Amino acid sequence: MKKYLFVLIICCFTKYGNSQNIGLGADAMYNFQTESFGAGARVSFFPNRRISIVPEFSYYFPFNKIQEYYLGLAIEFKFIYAKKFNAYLIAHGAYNSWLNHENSPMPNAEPNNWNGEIGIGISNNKCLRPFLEYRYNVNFRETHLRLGLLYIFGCDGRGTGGGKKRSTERCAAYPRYN
Amino acid sequence: MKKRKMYRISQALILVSISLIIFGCSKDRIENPELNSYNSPNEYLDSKKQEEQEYIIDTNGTCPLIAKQGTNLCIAKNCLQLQGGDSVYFPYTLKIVELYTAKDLIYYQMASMSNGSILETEGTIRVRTFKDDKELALRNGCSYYVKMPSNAPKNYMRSFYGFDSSSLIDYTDDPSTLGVSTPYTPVFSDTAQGHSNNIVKFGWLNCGKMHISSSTYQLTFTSTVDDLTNVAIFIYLPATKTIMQVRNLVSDSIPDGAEANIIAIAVKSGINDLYYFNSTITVNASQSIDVTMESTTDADLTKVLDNL
Repeated sequence: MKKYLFVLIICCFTKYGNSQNIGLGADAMYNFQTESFGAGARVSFFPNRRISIVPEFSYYFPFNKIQEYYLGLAIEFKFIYAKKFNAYLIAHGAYNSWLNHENSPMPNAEPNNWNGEIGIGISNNKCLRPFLEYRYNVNFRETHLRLGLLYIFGCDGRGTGGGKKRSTERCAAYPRYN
Repeated sequence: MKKRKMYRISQALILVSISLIIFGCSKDRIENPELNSYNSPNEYLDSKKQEEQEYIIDTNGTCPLIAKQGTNLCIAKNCLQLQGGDSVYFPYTLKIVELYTAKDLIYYQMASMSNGSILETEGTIRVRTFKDDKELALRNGCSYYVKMPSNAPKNYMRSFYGFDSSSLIDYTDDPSTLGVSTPYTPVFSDTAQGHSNNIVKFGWLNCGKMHISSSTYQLTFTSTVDDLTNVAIFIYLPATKTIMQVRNLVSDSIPDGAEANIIAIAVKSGINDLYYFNSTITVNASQSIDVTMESTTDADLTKVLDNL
């Protein structure tokens, strides 16, 4: 399964690998139920202005009650796409490696799990996009908050990155003379 | 139009998400789950236990007196005394409890142990005598005759006398430790229909044999779903007909290789809201028993205890 995830990420790079359609981000997380802090990294692909495909890696540190990492893929759907900000729904599937599962009082705690998450997020439309997400893990029935920054490659500084229609892109070799 | 539809779908999804978040969160991974709690089954067990039979002994009485389950008793009136040594005159009251099955021992919460070792047992009785609510005692040097019924009497059973030990009944086959010196042998005679002997002290009496094993193990009881604080846990060893009652979730020592039938009983809201756990294991190591109580009925639980 992890192999397929990797292949999917490579495919995304191949298909959407031009500037303004890829973003790279990092975030900090807090899980309210496990009272654990973590950090994550992500790559965002923007096939169109409403959908984002986001491979993600998240890690909860050893000083927490729960130490684990997630490797997954999220689909984000922007249901509010305004000039200054957008709000989006998140669906996320991930492989979970629970590193200290043997310390948990939960019966039948397993080291390897498959998790599904749904959530909601908000970000702006700048080249450097702060984002805030609140997610619910269906498998463990836990919520967590993510606060992070996403940098859009090839951004022109006018907030056009990440899914602007191709018709607005201009080719330097063939300038338009009006 | 399309945009409006999309907004409605989004709003519905957000509502579902918020509902899930509010109602569906769990701290199972870091906190012990809330356990099912129970009430003590004492009231239920008391309602099922063997009654204490009462007989008025007067000048018309004949020897032996045969109790409901076949225990034979003969007591000479001149062997009875009031506290202070005064003689007893007819009539007086004889009370007896008979426990001959594992079920009855469990209902009475009566273990068959002697100083931490298991007693092979062929029956337990309690004999007491009263004169106008005053409990009587046997005079020094006196005894009463008892025959405890058995289909297959053994020639090695001994009289074990019960005494209070930390709110439990423990047993000893040496009555001198209880302040009674006697010339009588503690060994029961095996007769055609049972075990007979001369008994030198009123109270609990176990027709038993102590089994001391060089290799023993203990069982520890845990549960991930049930709070075992008020659960009565018994261990029945069929080979020796021994009942053990578990205190503080750790059993007494069980001989290596013994088959053990574990019965746990609790009630929830009342004596008709019964829960039980039943498991049979062969004990060849100290081990932890994971208990999960199940709902049952009085009829079903009685059937389980009848089959021990």
